[in-house]
Amino acid sequence: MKTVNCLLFIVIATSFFSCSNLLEEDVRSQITDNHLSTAGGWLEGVNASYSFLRSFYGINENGATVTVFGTDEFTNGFDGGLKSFNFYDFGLNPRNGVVNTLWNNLYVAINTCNAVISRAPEVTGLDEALKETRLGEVHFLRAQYYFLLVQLFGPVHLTLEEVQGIQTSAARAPVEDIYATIIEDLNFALGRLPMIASDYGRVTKPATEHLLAKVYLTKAGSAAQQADDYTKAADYAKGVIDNYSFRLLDDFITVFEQGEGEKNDEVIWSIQNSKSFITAGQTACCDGGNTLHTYFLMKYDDLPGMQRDIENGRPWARFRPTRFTLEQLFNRTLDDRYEKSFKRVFYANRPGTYTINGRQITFNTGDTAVFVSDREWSASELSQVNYNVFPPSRQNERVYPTLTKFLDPDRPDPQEMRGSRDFIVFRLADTYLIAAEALMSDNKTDEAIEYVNAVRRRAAKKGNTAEETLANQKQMEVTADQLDIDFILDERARELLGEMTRWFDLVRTGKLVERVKKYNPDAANNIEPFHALRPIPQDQIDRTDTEFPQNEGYQ
Amino acid sequence: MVLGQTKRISGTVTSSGDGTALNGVSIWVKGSERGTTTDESGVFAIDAAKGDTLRLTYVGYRQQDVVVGEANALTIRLELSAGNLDEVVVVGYGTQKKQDITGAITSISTQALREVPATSAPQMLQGRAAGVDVVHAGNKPGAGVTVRVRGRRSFNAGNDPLYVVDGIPISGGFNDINPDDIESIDVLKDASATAIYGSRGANGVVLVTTKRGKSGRTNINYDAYYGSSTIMRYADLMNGEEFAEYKRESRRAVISPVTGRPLYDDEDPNADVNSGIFDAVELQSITEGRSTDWQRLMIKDGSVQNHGLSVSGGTDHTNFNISLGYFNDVGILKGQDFTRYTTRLNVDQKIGKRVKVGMSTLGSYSERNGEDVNPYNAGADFGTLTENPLGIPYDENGNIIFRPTSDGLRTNPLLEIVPGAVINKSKVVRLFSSIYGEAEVFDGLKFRMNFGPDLRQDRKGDFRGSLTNARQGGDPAANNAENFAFQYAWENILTYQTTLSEKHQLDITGLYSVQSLQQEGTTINVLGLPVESLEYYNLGAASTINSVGSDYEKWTILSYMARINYIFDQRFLLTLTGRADGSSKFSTGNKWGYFPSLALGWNLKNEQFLQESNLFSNLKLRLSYGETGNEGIMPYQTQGLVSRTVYDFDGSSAFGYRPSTIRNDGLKWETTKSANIGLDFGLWNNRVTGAIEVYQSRTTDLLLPRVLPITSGYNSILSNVGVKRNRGLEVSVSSLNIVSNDEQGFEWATDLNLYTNQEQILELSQGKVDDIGNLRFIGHPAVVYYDYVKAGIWQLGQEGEAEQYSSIVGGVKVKDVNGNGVIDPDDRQILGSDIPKLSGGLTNRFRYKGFDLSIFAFARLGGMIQSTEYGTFRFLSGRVNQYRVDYWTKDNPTNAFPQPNSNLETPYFGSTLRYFSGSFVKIRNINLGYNFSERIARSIGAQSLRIYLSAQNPLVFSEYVSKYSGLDPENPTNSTPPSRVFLAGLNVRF
Repeated sequence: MKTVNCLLFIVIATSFFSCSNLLEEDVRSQITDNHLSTAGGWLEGVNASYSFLRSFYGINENGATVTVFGTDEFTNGFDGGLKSFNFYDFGLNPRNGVVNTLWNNLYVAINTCNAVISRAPEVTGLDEALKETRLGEVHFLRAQYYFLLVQLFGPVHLTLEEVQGIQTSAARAPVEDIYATIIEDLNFALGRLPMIASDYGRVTKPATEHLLAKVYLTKAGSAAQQADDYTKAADYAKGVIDNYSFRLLDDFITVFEQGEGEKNDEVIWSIQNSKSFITAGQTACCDGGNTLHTYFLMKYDDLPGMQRDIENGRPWARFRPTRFTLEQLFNRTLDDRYEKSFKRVFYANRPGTYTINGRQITFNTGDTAVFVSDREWSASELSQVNYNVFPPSRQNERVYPTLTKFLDPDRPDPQEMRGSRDFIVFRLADTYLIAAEALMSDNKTDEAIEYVNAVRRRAAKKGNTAEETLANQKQMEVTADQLDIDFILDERARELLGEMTRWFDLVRTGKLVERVKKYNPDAANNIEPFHALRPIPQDQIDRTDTEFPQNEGYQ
Repeated sequence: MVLGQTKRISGTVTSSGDGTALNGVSIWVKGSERGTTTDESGVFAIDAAKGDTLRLTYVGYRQQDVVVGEANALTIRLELSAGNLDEVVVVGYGTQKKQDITGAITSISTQALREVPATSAPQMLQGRAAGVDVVHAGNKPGAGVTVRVRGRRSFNAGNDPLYVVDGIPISGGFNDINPDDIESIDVLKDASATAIYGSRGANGVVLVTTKRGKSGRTNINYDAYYGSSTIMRYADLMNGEEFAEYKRESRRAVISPVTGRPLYDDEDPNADVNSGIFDAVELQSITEGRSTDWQRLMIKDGSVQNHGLSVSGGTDHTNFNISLGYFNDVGILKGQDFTRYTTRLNVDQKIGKRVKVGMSTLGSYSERNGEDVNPYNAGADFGTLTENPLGIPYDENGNIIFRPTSDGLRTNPLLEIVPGAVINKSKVVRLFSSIYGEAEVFDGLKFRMNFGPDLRQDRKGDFRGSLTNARQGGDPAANNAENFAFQYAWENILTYQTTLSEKHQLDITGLYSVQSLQQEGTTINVLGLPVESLEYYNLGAASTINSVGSDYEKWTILSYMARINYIFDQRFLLTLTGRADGSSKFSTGNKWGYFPSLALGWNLKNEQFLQESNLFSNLKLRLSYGETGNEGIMPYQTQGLVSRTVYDFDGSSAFGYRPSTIRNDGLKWETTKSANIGLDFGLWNNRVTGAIEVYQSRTTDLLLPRVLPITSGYNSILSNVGVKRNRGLEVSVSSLNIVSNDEQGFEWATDLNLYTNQEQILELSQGKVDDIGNLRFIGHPAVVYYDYVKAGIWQLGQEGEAEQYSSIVGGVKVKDVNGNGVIDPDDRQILGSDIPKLSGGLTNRFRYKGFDLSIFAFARLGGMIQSTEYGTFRFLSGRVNQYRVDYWTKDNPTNAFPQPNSNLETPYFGSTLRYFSGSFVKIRNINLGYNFSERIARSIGAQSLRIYLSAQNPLVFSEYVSKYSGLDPENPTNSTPPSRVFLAGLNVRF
C-alpha cells in the first residue's frame, strides 16, 4: 500500500500544482515593440526608417519600373512581366502587384517614421543634440516617402502618428495638405541637420535643400501650386550649388565609379549598399542589395561566343533605350555622354567556332564577339569583320545598347542579384538642372542658361588638346532662345538617363502624354492623360471601411 | 450414441497474425460437456475421439473447428477476426471494446498494416481508413505524406492530425517510427472521440500502439525485404528532331520588323543556318540526326531494403520487446536516398498485484540525401525535363560540358549528380520515450502517470560546388542548419470502472496533463569556400558570410479532462467528455478553451427484436456532437513585435527595428463544432461488417490574418475571423466473400472504404466577401484554381477577334465570361479544386493452402490538379524542351495548345494550359506470399516461415498520365518521377 499512498500523494499534489506561470509566453528570439522606446531601440528605429529607401531604389525592379518604363527614354526589353507599365495597357490596373508593393512599402515606412517621431519624447538616456539630429533625419525621410507617394498616386492617406491597434479607416487628403506636410517636415529637418553627416549616407542639410528644391518645383506643376514655388525651388537649388563644397566632376562617368569612387564631390545623398550580405539582406534575389545592374542589361549571354559571367552581368533585359534616346537625343560628335552611357561591345568569353550571318567565325577569349552599332552596315563591311554586328535594323528587345551606370561586375558570382553599388538619389548635376528649370519657369531664362551650360560644358568630349576641349565646351553651350521646357527635359535625359526620375519629370512638366506618344511607339497607342497617376491598389480600397476613391481612369 | 475411443489430444494455439501463443483460448468438444482453455504458452490438453470436432473460440479471433484425426498433437492457428465485437480499440487514455464505442473510430488491423511493405508509418494509412486522406508529398526517398482527416478546417493553424504514440502526443516526425514496430493504428475522427484531446483534436487523432512483449515463449522475428525500383515512366518529351521543328515553328510565328519576313523563313532553303536560330552544336545535331535523351542519362535503377529483428517475450511479471530496424531507399535519381536506423525497447513490469510500470523507447537515426535538390525538374532555366535534346552532354574526351548549348542560362544537369558537386544531407537523431506507472488503488480505481520526453536533433548541410547550376561557375556556397527540439508530455490519469446491478456499466476517466515544446535553431550560410572538399565542414574559411541566424521557440499546453462512459444493459451507450486546455500562445484572458462533447450509442443488436435475426449479427447506431480546438499557430503572435531591418552607412552596418506586428490581445482558440451519425453493422454472422458515417463540422474563429488597409502601417493581423464547413460521408465494408472451415481451403475477403468530404468557406475576414488576392472564395474549398477559361485556339481568319480578346492567331482563346468585349480580370472563374469528389481504398485478399495474395488499390476521383510541367515559364517559347504536345501551326489547326512563339516567354493565357483532372486509380500494391508448413519451418529451426513477392505501384490509371503523359497525378509538381518497386521479402520466427 506504500506505493499506492505515494501515488495518491502525487495525484493530490498534481491537482494543486500551480500552472498559471507555465502559460506565460517565453519570448526570446523575438523583440517586442517596447524596444523602440529605449534609447538603443529608438536609434535602431531611425536606422529602420532608412531601410525602406532601398525598397524603392534598387532592391527590386519595382521602383525602376514605375520611373523608367513608359517614358520617352526607355521602352521594354524582352524579359519580365511588368511591361504593362510601358504599354499602359490593362495590366496596369489596381490589382497590379508592383503598385501594391510600392504602396505597402511606403506606408510601412511612414508608420516606422511615425513610431520614431511619436516615441521620441519618452526616450531617455540619449544626448539631446544627437536626438534632435536623428529626429531631423526621420522627418526628412517621412517627407521623402510622402513625396514619392504624392507623385505616384496624388491625394493619399495622411497619417503622422504611430498607429496603435487595428485601424481600418483611411481617407485621401488633398494634395495641398500633403505638400504642406512634406514642407513642414523638411523645414523641421533643415533646422536640425548638419552640413556633413556623422555617418556617410545619413541625410544632411544640403540634401534637405535639394529635396526642398525638387518638392517646390514639383508642387509648382501640381494642383497645390503657389506663386512663389519656382522662386523657392530656384533658391534652394542655388543654395546647394553655392554654399557647399559639391562640384561637378570633370568627367561625367566618374560619378558612377564603383567602390571608393562612388563617394565623390558630385553626390549630395546616396542610398547605401555594401558588399556585406549581412547588411544587404538575407536572400539572393530581390530582397537585398542594389539589383539595378540586371535590368538595363541586354541579353548577351545567348549570343555566339558569349556566356553569362560576373564581368558582363546577369541580363534581365527589362529596359531598352527608345530609338529617340539612341538616335535623336545626343549630339554624338560633341557630347561625351552618349559613348559613356552605353555599353555596346561584348568580348568573347566562350571561345569556339560559330555561324554568324552564314559565316563560320572562330572566337578566342577576349575577341570582340558582339557589337551593337549605331549605324547600318553594308554587306561588304559585314563580310570584313569577325564578330556579330547588330546595326539598328537588327536590334530588338534582346539586343540593344546597355546603360552602363548601374552595371556591377563586383559581385561574387554571376547569379548574385545583390549588387553593392550605392544608388545616387541626389547629385549636383540634377541640382543644376532643377535650378535651370525653376528659373526658366520663373521667366529668368538668362540666369537659367548658366546652369544648363554648366552641365553641358562638363559633358563636352575631351579634345586632344586643351584648346580642342575648350572649343567643344563652347560648342556645347546653348543660348537663352534655345531654352524651353523640352530642351530642359532633353538635357535631363542626357544627363540623368535611367536614374529613376524620368517618369516624375514628365509628369511634373505636363509632358508625359505628349512625349511618350512622340518617342515611345510601344506606349503611344495606349497612354492617356489619366496615366499621370498610378492606380490606387485595390486592396487598399477593399480593406478600408471608409470611402477611398480610385484614381480616375482606373478600374 | 456410439463413442469412439477417446484419447488424450494435446496441442498449441497461436495467432495467425504474429504467431504468438494465445493464452485462454476456449476449446470444447462439440456435442459434449468437455472443455478446457490454453495456458500462457498456448498449450492445451483434452480428451477426444477421432472424428470429434474441437471448437476453438477466442476474443478477437474467428471461431475455428478442427476435426480430430490420427494425430495426437495439434498445432492450431487462429485467424484474427475483422468484425469481432469484443475486439479492443484504443480510444485515447484507455481502450474500449468495439461494441461499447460511441465515436467514429477507424482501426487499422495488424493484418492490413502488414500487407504493404511500408516505407514510413504514415504511409501505412493510405487508402485504409475512410475519411483519412493520405497523399504522398513527393517521390523522393524519405519524402513524407500529407494526412488529412475529414478534410481541411484551418487556414493558418495547421491541418495535420495529432499523432499519439503509446499514449504520448508527439509533434512532427512520425516518420521516425519504424513501421515494423507498430502493432495497431486507430484513427479518431468525430468530435466525441477526439474531444478528449480537445485542444489538439480538431484535425483528428492518430493513435499508434507499438508492439509489446507477451508472456510465454520468447520469440525471435526477422523480417526483411529487398527490391529494386525502376522509373515508372519517362516523360514524353520532344526528341532532337521534334525539338528542332518546334524551335523553327516558334520563329515562324514572329515576323521580323526589319525584313518583314518570319524569323525562320521557309522560303530560304538554308534557313536552319541563315536564320541564326540554331547554334553550332544544334546544327550538328540536326545534320547528324543526333538527339540526347537527358532523362535516361539522369535516371538509374534504385533499390529498397528493410531488415527488422525483434525479440519479444516475458514472464508473469515482466514482458519485453526489443527491436532493431534498418531501412534503406536508394532513389532512381542519383544523389537521392534515405536510410533509417531504429531501435526500440518496450518493457512492462508488474510489481505485486496492483502496480505496473513500463516504458517504451524509440531511438532513431536517419540520413537523407537530396531533399532540397531536384535536377530532374522542369525549370525554365535549368532541369532535365527542359534540357535541349540537341545539346550534347559530353565532349570528345568524355568530360561533362558545362553548357550543353550556347544557351547561357542552362547548365548541364549531369553536373548536379557528379559526386561532391551538390550535397544536401540531413541527419535526424530522435529519442522518444513513453514511461508509465499504473496502480490499482482499489478494485476499479486506477491511477496512471505517463511521462513522455522526446528529443530531436536535425542537422542539414548543404553544399553547392562551383560547377553547378546554383553557382554557375561562381564560388562554392555552403549552408548549415541545425535544430534542437525538446518536447515532453506529462499526464496523470485516474480511471474508475464499475458495474452496478449488473446493468449499469460506468467508466470514469479524469486527466491532468502538461505538454511543452522548446526548440532552438541556428543557420549559417556562406559563399566563397577556397576548396570544394571543405563541403560544409569549415564555414569559417569562406570569404563571404551570407547570413547567420538563430531562433528559439517555446509553447506549453495545460489540460484537464473528464470523461464518463455509461452503458445500460449493453444496449444504451453514453459518453460525456469535457476538456479544458490552456495554451501559452494566446493572450491572458483567452488562454483557456473549453471543449465539451456528447455521444450516444444504441446497440440495436442487443434489443429483443433483433436477437433472433439471422441477418443482423451487429447493428449499432451512434450519434455524437462536440467541440474541439486548434491552436497550431506559431507562438508569440499576440505580442506586438518588431522586425529587423538592414541598412548600412558607408559599409558600417545599420541594423534597425521596425514595428511589424500589432498586439492582438483578443486572439483565442479556433473552434470546430461537429456532429456525426454513424451506423455499425454486421450481417450474416459478421460475414459482412462495416460502418457508415455522416458528419458535418463547422469551424469558427478561424485563425486567419485579418487583412488591413496598409495605410495603418500593417498589412494584416492574425485574428479569429471566418467560418468554414466540412461535410462528408464515409462508408467502410469488410466482407468475407468465400470462407472455408478448413485452414487449407480457398478464402477471399474484401475491404472497401469510400469517402467524400465537401469543404466550404462560409466567411472570411471581411464577412461573406471573397478574398481574391488569397484565392479564397465564399462557398468554395480552401484551395481552388481560379483562372481564365480556355475555349480553344484562335484560328486563321480570326485575327481581329484574337486581338480584341488580347491574344493572337495561334494563341489561346479564353472565354469572355462577362461578355464585355474584352478580357479582363473579371473573366477569371473558379475552375476546380484539389479536393477529390470521392476517394477510397479497396483491398482484396485471397488465400489458398499456404498461399496468400492481396491486391490493394487506392483512388482519388474528381479533383483538379495544376501541373507544373505544363505551367513552366518559357513553355512553348521555342527555347526549352517540354512535353510533346499537340501545338497549333498553320497546317495543324488544333484547339489543344497554342503555336510556339519565341517572342512570348509564356503563351498568352498560358496558365490556362496547366489544369487537368486529378482523378486516378493506383494499384498500390500486389503481394503474393507463401506460408511454409510447420514441418518445413521446423526443419530450419523456425516456428514459422513466410516468403513473399510484392509489386508496389505496378499500375496507375489516370487521364493525366495516359492522355497528357504527366508524371504523377498524385504529385503534379515536377518532383522526382515515381518509381515502381518489385521486392521479395521474408518473415521468419524462431
